Amino acid sequence: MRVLVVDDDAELLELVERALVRDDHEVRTAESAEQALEILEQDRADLIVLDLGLPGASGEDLCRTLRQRGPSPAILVLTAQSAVSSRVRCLDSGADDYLAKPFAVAELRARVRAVGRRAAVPRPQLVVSGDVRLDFANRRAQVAGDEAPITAREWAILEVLASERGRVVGRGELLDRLWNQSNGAASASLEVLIGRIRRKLGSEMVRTVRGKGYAWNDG
Amino acid sequence: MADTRAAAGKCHGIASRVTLVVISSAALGAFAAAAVAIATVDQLLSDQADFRLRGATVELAGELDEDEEGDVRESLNETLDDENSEIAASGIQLGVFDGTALVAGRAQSPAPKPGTCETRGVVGARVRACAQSHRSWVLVASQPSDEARLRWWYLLAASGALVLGAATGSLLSVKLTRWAVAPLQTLALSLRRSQPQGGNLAELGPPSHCEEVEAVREAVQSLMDQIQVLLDQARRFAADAAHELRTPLTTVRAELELLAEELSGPEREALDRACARAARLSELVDRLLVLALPEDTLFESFETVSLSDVVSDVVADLEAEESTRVRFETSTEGLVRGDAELLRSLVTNALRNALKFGAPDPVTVRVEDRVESSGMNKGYVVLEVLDGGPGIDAELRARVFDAFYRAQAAAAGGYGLGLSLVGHIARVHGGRAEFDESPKGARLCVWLPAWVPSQHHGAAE
Repeated sequence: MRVLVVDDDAELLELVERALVRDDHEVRTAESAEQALEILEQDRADLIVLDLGLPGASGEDLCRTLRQRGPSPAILVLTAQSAVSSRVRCLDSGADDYLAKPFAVAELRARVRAVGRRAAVPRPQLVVSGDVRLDFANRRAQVAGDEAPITAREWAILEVLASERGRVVGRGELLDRLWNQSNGAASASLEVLIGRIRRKLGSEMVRTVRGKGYAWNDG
Repeated sequence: MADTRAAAGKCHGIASRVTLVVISSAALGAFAAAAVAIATVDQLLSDQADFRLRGATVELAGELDEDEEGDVRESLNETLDDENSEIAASGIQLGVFDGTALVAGRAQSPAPKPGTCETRGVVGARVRACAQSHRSWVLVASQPSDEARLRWWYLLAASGALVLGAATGSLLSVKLTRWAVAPLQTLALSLRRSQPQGGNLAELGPPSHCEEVEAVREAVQSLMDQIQVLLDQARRFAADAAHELRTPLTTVRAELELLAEELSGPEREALDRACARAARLSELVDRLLVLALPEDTLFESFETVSLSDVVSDVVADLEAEESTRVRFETSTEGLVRGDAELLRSLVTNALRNALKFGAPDPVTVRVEDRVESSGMNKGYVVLEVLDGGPGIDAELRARVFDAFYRAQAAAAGGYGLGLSLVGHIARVHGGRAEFDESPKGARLCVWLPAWVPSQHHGAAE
């Protein structure tokens, strides 16, 4: 995978580069948002690892610029701020995932793999089916106008199924994709999670295909 | 408890002083009014007596003018005897002096100066006498004085007024005192309400209309403002320090991890240990940063989190020997609105604390939906962590949530930030953490407001 790492800390930049090269990624580095844009003019990237606190144009600005330009590489944000508001802001500005400093390199590598894999499939933004309205961008689910409580893990399942509409997603594939998406072990079993989704959004949302897996039910 | 405190305040405080002032001024006022009234009455009574005595002498003079002929001295005696017996019922006695000698009738010598009245005689037998000159004589009318009897009445009236005044004063004082002390009590109440909530001092309420109380209020408010500035500085310092540590810590960890991959054997083990220590340091920095979050931060973008899932995840991530000690009981998803990472940190710290101090006994974790019956029947998700450790003394229970506070038994290590983090994260979510009564060990209860549909979900998009 082609990865562009943007960070103003030269030492950290070099370390992240070393770690990712070990995973056989093709890595380029930039120390500012402007430099990153220059590199992207000449060369495409599959994934950008982006530090939020950059001199000049901030990482957030870069995120937004890239998203406005249309289809862009996946973005994994590194942030020194754990404040929830700033995390949410960077996800809002178009980042796919974030990692708070100080992070473990192993965690960074896992996230890079996961984000890269996810980026291959376009994420659904808004899905309306019957009286169910799923706003993936803002993570808001409504059933007949009332908000429904959908947890992060349930969103992840819905996201996979919604992005694969018309296709049956095997249990193994679903677990694999969820496993990488959530940083802990998926504790509640898949059946429990599917059960909860059906209870919250209506039983016809997700179809069980015997012996194969699950599929989005378009009716 | 608040009642006994209020009662104690009434006994020794400003309220008692005001009561004392009200009662004594009412008593003194009544006494003074009684004294004035008594003096007036006394004057009136003696004027009336003198008027009657003078009347008697005038009448005697008339009688004497009528019988001028004959033996003057004899007729004088007769006339006076007649007159005296006539007016005996009124208690007045008449006498005639010639010079200093009593020539007829009954009277005490010497005669008062003509035209005046005076009181004379020994105590208990005092007499009021008025004199008038008539030809060469001095006519004297006298009467036993009421003074002694009146004095007892006056004394009775004065003490009656004193007692009545005091009684009225004490009846009034209840209301008056309450009214007078009300501004102070309002101030006390707002002071009590402005208990620091995790480093945020509340405002002291609206200004008082009472000059003196307003002065106190302003002084306290300015003191609180100064403390708030210091608290904010301390918090900012902690946040800045932690923030500055993050990037170097990240590079140290990365360096160690990458190096560890290249090595094997004892060197690898040493590096792994160093990595673990660096990870622990990162955790400390994270905790400091979370504690530096102001508690009034209301997160607009809280997500829906299942507390039961969070507990399952945390238990699954524990070391094997620890996770076997945990018994997790739940029958609910435990849906709350919050920040998944902060809640994970809350559960991790609550659990680690129980595992550390409750070793080697099992730890029971429960997630329950509960409705707080007092108040507005608000729904809560309650995380309960029970351990079999030594427990926490009732008086220390609130303090263990202070940053860096460690109960004596907690000498086992740790930075003492774990529980304060639990309390802080609970408060950030609009909930609370507390230690409840437990037959054995400690029983930590974390109350988080249950998930409710957002009011603004339509407008937020």
